[in-house]
Amino acid sequence: MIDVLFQGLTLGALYGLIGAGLALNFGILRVVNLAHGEFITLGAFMAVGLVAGQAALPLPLVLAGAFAGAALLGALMQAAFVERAMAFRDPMVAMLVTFGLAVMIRNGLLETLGANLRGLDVGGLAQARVDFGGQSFGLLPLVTLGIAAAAFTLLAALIFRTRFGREVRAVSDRPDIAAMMGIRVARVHALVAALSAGLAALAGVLLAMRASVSPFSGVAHLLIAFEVVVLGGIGRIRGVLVAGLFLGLVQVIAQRFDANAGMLYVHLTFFLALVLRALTGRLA
Amino acid sequence: MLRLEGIGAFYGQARALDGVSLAVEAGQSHALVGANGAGKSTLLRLLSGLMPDWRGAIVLDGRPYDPRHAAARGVALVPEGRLLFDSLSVEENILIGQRGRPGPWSLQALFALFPILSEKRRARPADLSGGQQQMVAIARALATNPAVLLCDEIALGLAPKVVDEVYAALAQVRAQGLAVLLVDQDIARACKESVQVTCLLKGRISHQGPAHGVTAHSLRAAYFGVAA
Ligand SMILES: Nc1ncnc2c1ncn2[C@@H]1O[C@H](COP(=O)(O)OP(=O)(O)OP(=O)(O)O)[C@@H](O)[C@H]1O
Ligand SMILES: [Mg+2]
Repeated sequence: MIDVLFQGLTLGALYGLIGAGLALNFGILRVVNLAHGEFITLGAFMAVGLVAGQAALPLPLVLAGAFAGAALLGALMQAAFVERAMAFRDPMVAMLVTFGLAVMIRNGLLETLGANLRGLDVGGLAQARVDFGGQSFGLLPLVTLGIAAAAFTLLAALIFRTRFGREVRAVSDRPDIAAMMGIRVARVHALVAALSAGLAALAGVLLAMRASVSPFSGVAHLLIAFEVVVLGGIGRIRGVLVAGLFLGLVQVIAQRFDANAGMLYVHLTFFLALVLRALTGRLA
Repeated sequence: MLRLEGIGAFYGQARALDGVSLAVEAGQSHALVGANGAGKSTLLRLLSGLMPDWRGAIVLDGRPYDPRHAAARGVALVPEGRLLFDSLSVEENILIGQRGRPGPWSLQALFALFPILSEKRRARPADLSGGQQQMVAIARALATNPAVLLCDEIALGLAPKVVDEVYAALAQVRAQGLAVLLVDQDIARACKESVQVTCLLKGRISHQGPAHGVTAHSLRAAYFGVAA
């Protein structure tokens, strides 16, 4: 029982990370970023590439490399394409631009890497276990949970405790007034997009250690990210984490009873939660 | 200090300002009055970089002024409706203004100007009274250490006692050498606080001159656009 709980929380923390990145897009840029799932895949493949090129590369460096690579691409995409699309009144324009970018990234991955499933080989880490209080835990899930928790803590500190975070929230509230006060809004947008993409890549690396990914995995991940954000509340970091943990738990518990359909129960739960909210009048 | 020459402004095809010229001097207030839709807010927004489509020449401190660099050049707006950052605390709203322009308006100085804000520093704007919100908006603008302060409808919806407090603070601000461009529905009050007055009518200047003794009654021809 504790084991299921633990696995569910680990998976849920990753879902929370995925959702947090998308929530940044929604809440601060006010862009529905359909390329978010692709950054998750991209992170996974960058890690696979890094490990293949340099087998002894320590995990922190792999994570940092994937984060940095995705962050750079995210910032460039924001500055070069999405920022311009945001100038249109119709939010559909920016969304379609991210859709186009998602298709390009997916096909780029497919072209260079093929459609095969790939996993991230983490060597002994996958099997290692530690005993704690008479209970045995896998080391990999522990590490995953630790990294996700650290990422969330840092994200919350960055947004709520630093000058940069203050400017991010100000830009989110009133971009025109923020610009008037001297904040470079486009630069803040690019940095937020970088953060979002970096978080997605981080989650992607950790997900690839658990299960294989292909260039087509992005869509499924995007769906989960949406569910997490909608359940957790746009722009609420803690709510997003809780929603992620909840959906992760649901998936792992459901898998216990029906090994192939855990995901189905995640989507069903999400749907039920929405219905419940609609009935209690809290849909918006 | 700040000189405008032949300013025009457009919302799409619609012309909101036409040939507006005026000057605001350091340590003085200039009252900008006019009926609803006359173009007062448009002029203040233009000077703050919020109106992309405009014509004319603006000179600040003897150098050409580009409103897109309002904060860096020391022009700050207290906007109509305050437009505070709702998800930031009072203190964070003020700190947003601090962006490296040197000057006297530290957080302590602003809390000394509006002591109530020190007590409410952790509160959200939504939890403040209208007067307190207005004080945050003024403090946020002052935190940029501006040379020119633009105040739009600074007394709107405030109790008379709070209006007095706000104007007392503005007097202290002028004493620091700031130039103030002041919009207020209460013509007599705005003129009492000011040295010069400009009245706009449908985007054009209908009266300009000394503010001393000007009242709503003495200004009614320029204000309504009919012969007195
Ligand atoms: N966003 C906008 N789009 C189009 N026209 C606008 C816009 N804002 C203002 N206008 C028009 O520009 C003119 C000047 O408006 P402005 O808000 O500057 O007037 P004002 O003098 O501040 O009036 P008030 O006393 O009501 O605040 C008005 O005719 C108004 O209808
Ligand atoms: Mg106005």
